[in-house]
Amino acid sequence: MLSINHLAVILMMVFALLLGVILITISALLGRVKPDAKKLSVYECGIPPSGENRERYSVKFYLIAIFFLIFDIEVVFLYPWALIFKHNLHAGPFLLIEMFLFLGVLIVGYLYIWKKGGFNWTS
Amino acid sequence: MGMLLNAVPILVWVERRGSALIQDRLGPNRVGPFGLLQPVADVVKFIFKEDPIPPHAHKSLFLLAPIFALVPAAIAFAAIPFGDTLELGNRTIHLQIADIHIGILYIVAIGSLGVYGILLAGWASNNKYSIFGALRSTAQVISYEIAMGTALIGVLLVYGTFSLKEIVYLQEHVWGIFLQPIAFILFFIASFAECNRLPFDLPEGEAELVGGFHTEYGSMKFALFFMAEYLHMVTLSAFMVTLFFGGWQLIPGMLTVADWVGIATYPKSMGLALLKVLAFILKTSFFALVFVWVRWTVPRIRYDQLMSLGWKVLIPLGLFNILLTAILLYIGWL
Repeated sequence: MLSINHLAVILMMVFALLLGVILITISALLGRVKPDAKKLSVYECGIPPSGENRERYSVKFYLIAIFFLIFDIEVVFLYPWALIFKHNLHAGPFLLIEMFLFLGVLIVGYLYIWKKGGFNWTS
Repeated sequence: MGMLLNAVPILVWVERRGSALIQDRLGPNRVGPFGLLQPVADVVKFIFKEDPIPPHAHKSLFLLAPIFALVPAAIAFAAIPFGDTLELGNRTIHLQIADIHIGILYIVAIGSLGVYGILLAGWASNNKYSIFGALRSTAQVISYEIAMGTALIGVLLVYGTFSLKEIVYLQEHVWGIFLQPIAFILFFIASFAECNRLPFDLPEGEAELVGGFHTEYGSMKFALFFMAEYLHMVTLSAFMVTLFFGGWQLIPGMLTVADWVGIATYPKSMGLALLKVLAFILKTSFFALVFVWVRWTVPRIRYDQLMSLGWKVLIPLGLFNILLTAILLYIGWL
């Protein structure tokens, strides 16, 4: 079921895609083409490139990605709760306590990561 | 169908706003009056520039990356309402490209798709600077996305709806910033990091990484990254205005000025609707200007500072804000 709103988004997407493709094509067709060895070499501030292009990088980036997964899923779990919270205030403190327990577990994990030095970029 | 036809000029309008922002500098003043035609000259130059694809790059991904960066930046705006309803003849038009009932989720989801363009560009370029820039950018964007997510939960608690249209209606009397000041500060800081602007522009820090992820890009492909960045800025400003500053709700005093000039009275509903669109444009332009302003004011911070600000300050603050808001709502103070 496509509503007019979905169509508008899809139309915009197609428009943006076409814009990108057309602009790149025009510039590829009209641009001056005069490559030489120096121009096509790997850019490294004008000196001849040294070593591998894809160097090894810090494991910290992986750690950040894993923390992101945990916390982002937590945020996703909080969204439905936040959405209905205001409309169910009359139903007693159950919703509030439930989410405090959830956040409590999360905060314990968060403090554990902190104490283990997971957030220290230089260590 | 009427909505769809209306979407086309709005699209053009979005594009124009994106590119108009790029003029915001004193520099070019030769082309046209006040250098107003400079972007046109820039585009011509971009088109005619040589555009070599480095042989060491992954060719198809290298070509695809700029488009991947542009598309999410261009479509995220669709969910933001930029005006109240407009009466044209016997039709009522909502001034919003797509009235998506999960607008907040839509913008957050589409906004974070932009990372793929940057990551692809960095990886496909096969260059040290590019790949470091891309990695830094990804780590930064995902870290600050959590801060932004926690800020949005505070907002959501207060409004109780995902629909941006309803959120604007709910701010008729009180703007969101007075209900959620902490969330606004979090969102404001995180949005600078999300679109890689100074003081968080480490992915492209010229002094360290040449150009970061777009080091090997030139010509029109570079221009597309540039456009994507500016569109992202405009969208985030508009999002900020919609959540915290009443969206298209009139700025206090605007109606008085309009009455004095006599715009609001002419065709009553039409004038008022246009005035609301003007209020939205003014607010959004203000925040887009703040982006530019901050860029030339605040120095770049170090990468470890960036990470500890995100993880050790903003995220705890966001969690605290959620707890505080929930308790205040429960006692009935909010």
